[in-house]
This record gives sequence, C-alpha cells and structure tokens, in this order.
Amino acid sequence: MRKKLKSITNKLYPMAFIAIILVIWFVICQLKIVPGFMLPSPQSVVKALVNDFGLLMGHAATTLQEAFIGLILSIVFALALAVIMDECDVLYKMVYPVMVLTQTVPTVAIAPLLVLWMGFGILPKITLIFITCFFPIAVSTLGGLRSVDADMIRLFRSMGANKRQILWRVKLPYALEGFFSGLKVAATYSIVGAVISEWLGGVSGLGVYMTRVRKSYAFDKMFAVILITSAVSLLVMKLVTLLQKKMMPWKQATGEKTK
Amino acid sequence: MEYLSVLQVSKQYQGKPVIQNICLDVQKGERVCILGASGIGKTTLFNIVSGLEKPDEGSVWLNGKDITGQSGQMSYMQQKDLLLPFQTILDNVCVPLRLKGVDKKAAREQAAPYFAEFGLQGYEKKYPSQLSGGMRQRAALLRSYLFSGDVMLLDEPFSALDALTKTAMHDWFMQFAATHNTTTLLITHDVDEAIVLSNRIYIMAGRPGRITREFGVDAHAIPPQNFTTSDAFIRLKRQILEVIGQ
Repeated sequence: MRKKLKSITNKLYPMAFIAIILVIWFVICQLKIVPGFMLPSPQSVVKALVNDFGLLMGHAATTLQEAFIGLILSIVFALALAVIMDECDVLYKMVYPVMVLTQTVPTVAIAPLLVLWMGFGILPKITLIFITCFFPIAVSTLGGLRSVDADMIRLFRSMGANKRQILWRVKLPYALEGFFSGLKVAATYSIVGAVISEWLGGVSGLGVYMTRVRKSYAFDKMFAVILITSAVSLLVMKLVTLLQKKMMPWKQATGEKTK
Repeated sequence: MEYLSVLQVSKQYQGKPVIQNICLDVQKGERVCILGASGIGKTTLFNIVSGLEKPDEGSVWLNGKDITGQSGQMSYMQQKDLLLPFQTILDNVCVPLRLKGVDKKAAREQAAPYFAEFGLQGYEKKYPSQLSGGMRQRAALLRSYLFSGDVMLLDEPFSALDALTKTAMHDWFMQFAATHNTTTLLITHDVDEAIVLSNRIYIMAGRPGRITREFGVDAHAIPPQNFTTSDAFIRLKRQILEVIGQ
C-alpha cells in the first residue's frame, strides 16, 4: 500500500515539471514573444490532435506495424547470433568487432540508400529498423550469456548436464535480464527508425505525415504528430516492461526476506 | 573396504604442478575431510574426483570401478549455493532429477518429502533471494542429495555462513549424514569444522599440494554438546595446527 502511494507521488514530480513547461509555453504564445506560425500554442496543438486523430491513428498503425515486424526479426536473429557467438569463440572474435563498427554508421545516412535499393514499400523500412534494433539486443543478450558464473556451469556439468541443457536451463534464463535491457532500447529505436525511413517516402506512416505537414508549414499538426510518435514509443516500451514482468516473475518476489 | 579411492593423482597447469601424488580413501558411510590452506589445490583435487577434469597421472575409483574423468557419479556442492535465482526452491532442488529426464510433476513429488528434514518446509514456492544464507545452503545440499545421496563431495560448504549459523548447520549436517549413511568427502580450511564433522582428516600442504598427514577423530566417547570444549578436541586441534605450521 505504502509502496503504491510512493510510486504515485514519484510520478507527481515529473508531471509537475511538465505542467510548468506547458504554462511557460502557453504564456510565450499568449504574449506573442514568438510568432504564432513558428511556435503554435498548446491549445492549437491539442485542437490539431483532436481534429486529425483518426488520420493520425491510421498513420500510427502503419508505423507500428513496420516497427513490430522489424523488432521481431531483430529479436529472432539477435538471439540466434548471441547464442552462436557464445558457443563459438572464433565467430565471436570475428563478428563482434564488425558489429560494433556497423553501429558507427549513422542511420540517417543509410536510409536514402535503402530506399534507392528497395523502393518506397515496407521493405527498406523494416531493413532500417532491423539494422538499428539488432545490435542492442544481440550485444546485451550476449553479455548476459557470457556473464553466467563459471561455477554454475561446472555444477551443472557435474550433474551430467549436456550443452543444450545448460543453454536452456542456465544460460538463457540468466541472459533474460540483459535481453530485456537491450529490447527496451531497441523498442524505442524501432519507432524512431520507422519514422526516419518514412521521411524518405511512402504512402502512409507517422514519418510520411510528418513530412507532409512540415512541407505545408502546419506546425500545429507537426507538434501533434510528434506527440503521437512519443506516445507510440512509450506504449511499445510499456509493452516490453509488461512482457518482462511476465517472463521474469522472480524479480517481483524478491521484496520480503525471511529468516 | 574402500568405497571411494584416489590413487596417486597428479595434475599440472601450464607446466606448473598443482597437486602431486595424492592418495586417499573413504570407507562407505565415512566422513573424511581434506584440511589445508587456500590455494593448495583442494578444488583441483575435487574437480578430478568429481570427474570434471582428468588427472595427468593416477586414477579415481568408486565401488571397485575406475571412474577417472567421468562426471555425474557423485554429487558436488560448493561454497556458493549456486541456486538458480529464477527458479523456486522446489524447482531448484528438482534440477538434478529433471536433468536425468524425470518429468516436472514426478520430480516435484520426489523432492517434496525432504523439505521438512532440510528445514525448508513452507519455502517450496519461494525464490532463493527470499531465503537466509543457511537455508539456501541447505537447499543446495538437498539438491546435491537428490542428485546422489550415496557419495557427496562438499567443497567448503559452510564457510560463507556466519559463526552461529555455521554451528547450527554442523549439528544438522551430522544428523543428516548419520540418518542417510552418506559417504562424504569434505574440503575445509577450518580446523574446528574438520574435527567436528569428520571421522578422519587428511592434511594437505606444500607446493605442489600433497597429503602430508592423516588424523583419526575418535569422538564416540564424548557427548556431542561437549565435544568442542573437550580435552580430546583441544589436543587434536593442537596436533593438527602443529602439522600445518611446519
């Protein structure tokens, strides 16, 4: 009960901060310190949000779909590669530095190339999301797999466990923690990646809509779509947290300690 | 007749001998202790006895069979409890049964009756992080016992516990070993623990590690509650300390 109360008050602090920013924003627009066409007022953003809500939801659905497919693909391949790299040291030494290297390539720079190669359909979008999301998941899962106590593995071997049993019963459950911290990062990347790739072309999606309203200088709509993008990111992150709670029930049980 | 015997075992790592010409034997139902300072090669010896590593020379015999380099013949427990944090105590102790291919339900049914004896009743559904150190250690011991209650290798099993918990665990363990007629080979660097828990003590010393002396502990005449303060105990402790000091 007290814990719940505490979590509510903890949420009050950032909410108060957001309220302060909103008030400052409102005052700036009211006093016309910044001209209205450059910075829309909060109420006009809300109006745009309400008026275009159906349209925004349609675009959000497209973006979410792309992000989801890209994320699932990244998870499957990242997990497979992490397990293989953990088993095979030569492969680890070969691939790991290259993986790190690929992360220095800016996403924004390869997005146009992907469009040139793959067209304006869903394919370049999913590819870009895959490229950005694959790395955090693979690296954090691999870190989890490699951090398993060597004594634990020795114990399991002494009990006659084979490699497959050690992987399923010890290594993978241990790696879940790392996997989820990677997945949380990847989840936000997936939305950002989808939006960036949509900027460059497409029929529907939050990025496509964003480009359209920017070109028509409809800044209130621009702000509205930015808000929706954030909301979608938060939603995906929340889903990951829920999934983590579901898959790691022992993390919740560590509260009370008994003698 | 010897039940478990180690014959002239030597092992080296990267040209450096760690243990040399180790010979020891354990009778059925006996509790034998290897006493020595840290880093003397006790754990290497245990890895060889348990079959996790092969010796460079020598062999390990169990019940008349050569088991050198074969793991899975006896249970092995370490100082760390090594319970899986993501499984309940019941599932943790079921691990050895599950590894042998017993299905979940049957494994749980087989393990459950032991919880009372191991002082874990009511904690079946708890996670390791919710238990005290002593309880976790007993859970680890139960897991070892369920793997093989026949021969148990215990590598400093109680040394991470505080002094009071440790004494309680010693009493409990003596009772457990007597009830199940378990053959135990125990490693420790604690002289008191060695004398309290074992029938015989091997002193391991030197570099590379060798067995330098063997002591018998005859505690049958003395009531257990007075044993640690008895003359016999003090005398033996003094003798052992002299040998280690050399």
